[in-house]
Amino acid sequence: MWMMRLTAAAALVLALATCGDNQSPYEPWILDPLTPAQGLWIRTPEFDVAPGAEIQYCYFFQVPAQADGTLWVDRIELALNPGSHHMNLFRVKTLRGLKPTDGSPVDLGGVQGTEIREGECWKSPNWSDWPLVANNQQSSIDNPIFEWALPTGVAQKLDAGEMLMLQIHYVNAATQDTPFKGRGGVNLHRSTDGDTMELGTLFATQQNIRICRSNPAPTYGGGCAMPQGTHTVAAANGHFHSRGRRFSIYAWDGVSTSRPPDSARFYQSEAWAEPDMATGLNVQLPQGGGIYWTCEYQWSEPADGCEALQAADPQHSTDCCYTFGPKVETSEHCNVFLYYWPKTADVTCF
Amino acid sequence: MLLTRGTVVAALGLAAPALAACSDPPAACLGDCTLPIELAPTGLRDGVLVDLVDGGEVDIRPPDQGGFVIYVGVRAKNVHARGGSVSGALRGVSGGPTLTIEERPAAFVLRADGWAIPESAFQDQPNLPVCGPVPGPADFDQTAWQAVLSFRDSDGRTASTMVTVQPRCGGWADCECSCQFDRTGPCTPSWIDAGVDARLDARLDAPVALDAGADAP
Repeated sequence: MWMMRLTAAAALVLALATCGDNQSPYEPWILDPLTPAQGLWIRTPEFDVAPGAEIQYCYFFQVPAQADGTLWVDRIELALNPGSHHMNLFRVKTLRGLKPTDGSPVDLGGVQGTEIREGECWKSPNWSDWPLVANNQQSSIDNPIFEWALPTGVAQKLDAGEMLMLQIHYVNAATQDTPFKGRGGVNLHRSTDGDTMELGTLFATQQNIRICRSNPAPTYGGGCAMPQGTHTVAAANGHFHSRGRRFSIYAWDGVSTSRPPDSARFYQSEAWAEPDMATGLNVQLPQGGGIYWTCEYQWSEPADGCEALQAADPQHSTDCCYTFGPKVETSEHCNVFLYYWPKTADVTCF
Repeated sequence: MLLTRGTVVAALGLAAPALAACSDPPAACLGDCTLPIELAPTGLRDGVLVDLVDGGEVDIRPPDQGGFVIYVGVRAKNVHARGGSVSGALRGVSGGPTLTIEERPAAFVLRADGWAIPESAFQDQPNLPVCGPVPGPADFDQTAWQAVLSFRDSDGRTASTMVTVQPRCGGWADCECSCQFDRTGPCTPSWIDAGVDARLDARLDAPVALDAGADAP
């Protein structure tokens, strides 16, 4: 009998370890609120992420009125409870199916906003031309706050009244655990030292990707030209799901038609769940050039079988293929988040 | 030792390549792989895979996450059906900067005339983004570009070819709007006010036309 009890207890511990119970004591991260003079801050409400669940919420809010109409931000803090897959902050542009006016009112601490859970918040064409402001994929218990001081003289420029959207993705299933509740926070610190060099961002993605049982180790790569001008990369990170093995980003001369040499590589990460955010890069891209990136994958057996993969596969192949999509459990990504200066355009490569 | 589900999945993932290596037969040669690789360009036009000649039109299409891409690739002889990769680059017809470049795995099937063609017009041809804020003429639609196409088979053998292509919007209003400006000019397609744009939600799952031949067994 004692063996049965021990086994049951072990099973319970195992269950709690593999899918967060959302109830364990947790010492939350603390970000100090900012005064209007110090900048802009928001905190999402806490929310449950049920065992087996994968959720995505979108929070809309406007940049408050500014004395001179502009908020220049030169330090960013992004905080996440453990279990987050990503948190992205975008500028809202073209409105398609995801609209701030369709959301429910929500108190975000420093500002009031609206919240849209699931539904249109999952459909990436909705924000395909929404420029990136900041992103974070680090949500470990030991390191819940990502802090980034922008290069000297460089700042992110936000206009008063500008609509922003904070998107949070949490997973509590086979590939990632959410041991407590989900929650995110952002502090955008006002520049007070006269920064005038505007930070630009680049978002690039490989679509139509397939990681299949019969071709288990594919590599996808792409190059993206920057607008005319001289650009320096300040920070970058890559994003894929659990089949991702290595993410690399290179400086590209904008002329060659093949992958740049290893000597041009300025970013590499083999951590899919907590990919490195490289800051302080100071990589000057070739004039007229841009970036090149590669995603290397290794197929793995889906925890819940191939049916969901097959259903999501545009080709409906029986080859158990992970294809492009937002769900960590059943699909894959190959995305670049890159920050550069001086800004010449909001760059999207897809 | 407690095993989490993630650990088990990771272990299965590590074991999978070894198991696959044991069970997968060598990729079949389509043609005579002792001979040099022969290449000719292909592309997507009117939603189907076609052979391309210089000046041929290709569709600009919306991938899953939005944006605008063309699909241009190669047909080949004397190559292995699987395990290879194909890359494509787009630049001005008179040279100059390369606007975009992509490489991806490619699988081929045998056509009746002896050419191996991409198994999928979408997955097995480079997906080349166009209409972004890149250098070059602002108007992509109906403008000719040079596509540089390369193939590497599973034995590491390589070959390249080039073709001049004309991306076209084919009446797609969003494309005509976005691709005819440098993205800093005005562009307000009518669908914005209508809310959801169904075309951007569409999955590119149209079947590849194999009207010139048949799949390899």
